[in-house]
Amino acid sequence: VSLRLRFLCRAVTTLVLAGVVPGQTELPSVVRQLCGECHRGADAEAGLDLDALFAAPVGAREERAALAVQRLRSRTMPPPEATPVEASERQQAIAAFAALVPVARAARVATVRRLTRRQYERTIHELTGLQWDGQGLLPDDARAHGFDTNGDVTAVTPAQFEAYATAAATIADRVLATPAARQRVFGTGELLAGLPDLLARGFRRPPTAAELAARTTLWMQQLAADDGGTDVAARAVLQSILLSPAFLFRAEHGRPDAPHLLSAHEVADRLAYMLLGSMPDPALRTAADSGALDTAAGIAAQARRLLAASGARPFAEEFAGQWLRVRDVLATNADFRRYPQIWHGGLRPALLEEALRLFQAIVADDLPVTRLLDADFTFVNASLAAHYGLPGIEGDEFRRVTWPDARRGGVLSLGAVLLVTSYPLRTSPVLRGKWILDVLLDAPTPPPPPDAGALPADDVPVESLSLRQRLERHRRQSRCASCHAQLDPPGFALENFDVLGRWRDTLHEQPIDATGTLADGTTMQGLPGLRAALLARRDDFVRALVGKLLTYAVGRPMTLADEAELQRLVAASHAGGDRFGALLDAVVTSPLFTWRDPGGP
Amino acid sequence: MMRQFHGWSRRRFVAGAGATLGLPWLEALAAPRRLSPPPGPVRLAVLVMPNGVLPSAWTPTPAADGGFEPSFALQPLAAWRDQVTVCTGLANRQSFDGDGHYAKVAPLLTGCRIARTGGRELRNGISCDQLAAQQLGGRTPLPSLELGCDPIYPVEDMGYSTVYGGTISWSAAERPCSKEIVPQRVFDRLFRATALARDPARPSVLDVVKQDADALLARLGTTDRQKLLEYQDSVRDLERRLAAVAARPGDTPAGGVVPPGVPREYPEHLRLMFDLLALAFATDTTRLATFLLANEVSGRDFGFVDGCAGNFHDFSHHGGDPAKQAAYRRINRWHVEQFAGFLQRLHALQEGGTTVLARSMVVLAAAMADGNAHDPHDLPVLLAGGGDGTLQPGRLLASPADTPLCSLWLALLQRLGCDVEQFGDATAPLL
Repeated sequence: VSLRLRFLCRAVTTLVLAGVVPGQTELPSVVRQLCGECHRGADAEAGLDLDALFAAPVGAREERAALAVQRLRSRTMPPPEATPVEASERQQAIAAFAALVPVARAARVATVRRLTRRQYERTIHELTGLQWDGQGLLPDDARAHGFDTNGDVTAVTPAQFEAYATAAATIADRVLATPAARQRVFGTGELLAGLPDLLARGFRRPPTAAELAARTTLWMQQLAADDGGTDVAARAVLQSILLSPAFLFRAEHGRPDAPHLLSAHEVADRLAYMLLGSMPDPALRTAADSGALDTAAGIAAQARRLLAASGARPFAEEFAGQWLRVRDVLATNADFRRYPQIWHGGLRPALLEEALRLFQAIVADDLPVTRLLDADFTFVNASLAAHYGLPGIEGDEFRRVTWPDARRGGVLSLGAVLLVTSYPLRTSPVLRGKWILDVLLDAPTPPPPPDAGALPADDVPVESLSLRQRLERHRRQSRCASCHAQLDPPGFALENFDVLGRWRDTLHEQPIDATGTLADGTTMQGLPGLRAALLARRDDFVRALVGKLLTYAVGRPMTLADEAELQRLVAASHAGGDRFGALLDAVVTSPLFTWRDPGGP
Repeated sequence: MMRQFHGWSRRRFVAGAGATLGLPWLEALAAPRRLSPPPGPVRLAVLVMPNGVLPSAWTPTPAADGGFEPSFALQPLAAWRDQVTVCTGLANRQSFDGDGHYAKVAPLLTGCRIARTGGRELRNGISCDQLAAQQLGGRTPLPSLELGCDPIYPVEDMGYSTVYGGTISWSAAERPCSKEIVPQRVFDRLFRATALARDPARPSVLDVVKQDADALLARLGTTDRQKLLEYQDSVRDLERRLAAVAARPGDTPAGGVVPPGVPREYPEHLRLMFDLLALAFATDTTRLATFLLANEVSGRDFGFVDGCAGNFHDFSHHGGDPAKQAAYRRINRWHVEQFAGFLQRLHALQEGGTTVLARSMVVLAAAMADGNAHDPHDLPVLLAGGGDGTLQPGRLLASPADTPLCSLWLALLQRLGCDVEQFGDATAPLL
């Protein structure tokens, strides 16, 4: 209990520090230092007078303050010609601007989540031991903020409930017809005796007296019915579990004594769906029952155990598949006339497999997460090796190979990433740059204005202008420049990779120009240059990963009010050498993870 | 509770389906049972054929009585002349400047311009059937039915996602409706509620989960409550539908009578789908359907039609070659034969002293006139059925050139009972 209390106190301090500063008139000194030279007074640059902004009331300051945070975080401000900025100064300035943006308490509480189709399948597997494929019956899930685990966009429509009813009937039939599944679900003794445990598994928490009583009544009722029998009754009881909102939803109420803190079973539920994409396994349930999840150390130990026990495979499929957007590769098209290889040898599934295995290896071997950027190895089978031009690989099995040179390595040269960031007929430096900003740095640019125009769909030069020249012309328009200065250069650094992720030295008989100047003034050449530039922004990369991980696991986007705690997690990760395990320990013991309502109490 | 078996026992259904799963079983099913859905349910079915038609073989000449003299392609309609109106002069202006087939077929039922994209940010508009489904779909167990015969391969052609070439129903600008192509799946979708209603324990199970939801609801905050309320509504909706199934006079057909998988032969596949569509209308499971007979740019080999062995899409780009034109027009006529067969099925279904056909509005259209030139003007459009007395079929309805096709959709939407004043680029109904 004392550990739990300390844990709680630290969190409260963090959250108070992150609180909104009301009615501030004085410009914080760090902001004056970093931004004051250009952004003060009547003739301030971009019309942004910081003294006025910091004195402005709530309602008149949020938009510009949020934009300032974006500019600082993406390092487009202060501009390259200004004095270099210390990382800590930048963080303080971000915190100062973030404090101007009040965050509603509700924005920091995740909406109740329904199991996604994939979670439903995995949960059925854990509960019954059966492989049940819901594709074709249950619809695909919508995504918000990059992940399908956001409750805001999941729903149970009438058609969907009907599908759940059909699924429950089918699954119940299969359980009763399969001796092993039957035993796993109902146990070997009397069903009524095993009912509390069955409900506890299905609902991932101890059942309420009413829930238990309703099933007991159902059981009796069905036994007594004309054509009743134990099978009919068992079938009805199992369906009443699979159709219950307590099964289909992941409701979080908090502890009875402290509703802003999650109960041990709710922590277990978050851990299990984060790392397994499924319900808690027996050991995790035991840990929740025994109080082992009441301490930070206990939570971290279970998180590491779950990863080890599952080989990090479900975690890679569910989290990395969505974070890196590589899951989308299966539905991404290249023009099949220009790139007939899109059909060959199961290319797209192989590209996905490569990406998942790379992530999985880094997590399972507890490597520093920066290896995601600079790993010198990957995983290929014969057909993928041929695709990449790697000789001497045979067979359908994937195996680890070392890249022969620095031209490839890390997630940036994954064919899956390069394909999902291309158009069917050409690569897109803009999409690739956007992917880097969104995915690796969590510093997305605002959406383009509706009349921004579009580049040609094809990369065949038109009016003797290459795509690069067209983009440069677009960037000369001042309202486009600020975003495209961030987007285009990192994208151009990847121009040596074609739509399908293959190496190329020329395009339409012109040599590829893979140079770019980053918004902070760094000039770089190709993937090695881009990689070095990103590694130099290790803070931002780790911050992005931590934020994405929490968005996925908790089911809500991180807000500016969470920024201070996120920075603390980055520091904790650094202290552990940025090894994935250290980062995970920090994340799963953070109040952002263990609290239902971090704006409380 | 005793289950009532009037005409429609499972055994009887199987027996009827037996050797020739086709019209006979529908008649057998329909005959002894008085189908009595609410008075005058009007149905809409829009059938779309790919790759355009050969205008010289399509366009009929006017007859003295205001009707039409069947052209080569329309000969199969000779017996149905008084049930069919041939529309000429209709076009979808939003499709004029798009390349290829996809920009023509995707907006056929929406009247919108589609975004040229390989899959990201698809953009079209809501289609007429889906607009109707959103306004009226709650009256039947299934709001609408979307049928097809070809899967959509996730590829890209001429800068367009092939989703465009394979989807005519859109529930919103960015939301293509997936279509059912497997007959067994269509059957399941039609009668899933029926299958669920067969379990006597179902009401008790739903009672228990409703209790769970009530208890949970009391403990949740505002946003979470919305989610649970939606869940509760869905449980109640299923209860209502199960009750509706139970209150129907007869048993509805059991599964397993439709062969699994996709039939190897296209005519057989099409026939099954038409049977299921007729069944859906006959049982009043839905009143709104679209059927894309084949995905646009279909290269199907029509070797089962005399002189048509080869590639359909290739024939449509005949370039004036008489041999290709001959095959092209025969394929056009074959499509019209299937249409006539469907009319026959609906006509044979008696309902409340009239026929399902008399209460239906059935359209056969293509997204292009001459496929050779991807010509988007003067689209081939046939309108059949009586619309419950609101249509006067048996006419040749010649409209001024490039009259919005949407004015036809608007007219049909109004007859269905939709509250709609304009649709797509049409501000006044055609009829």
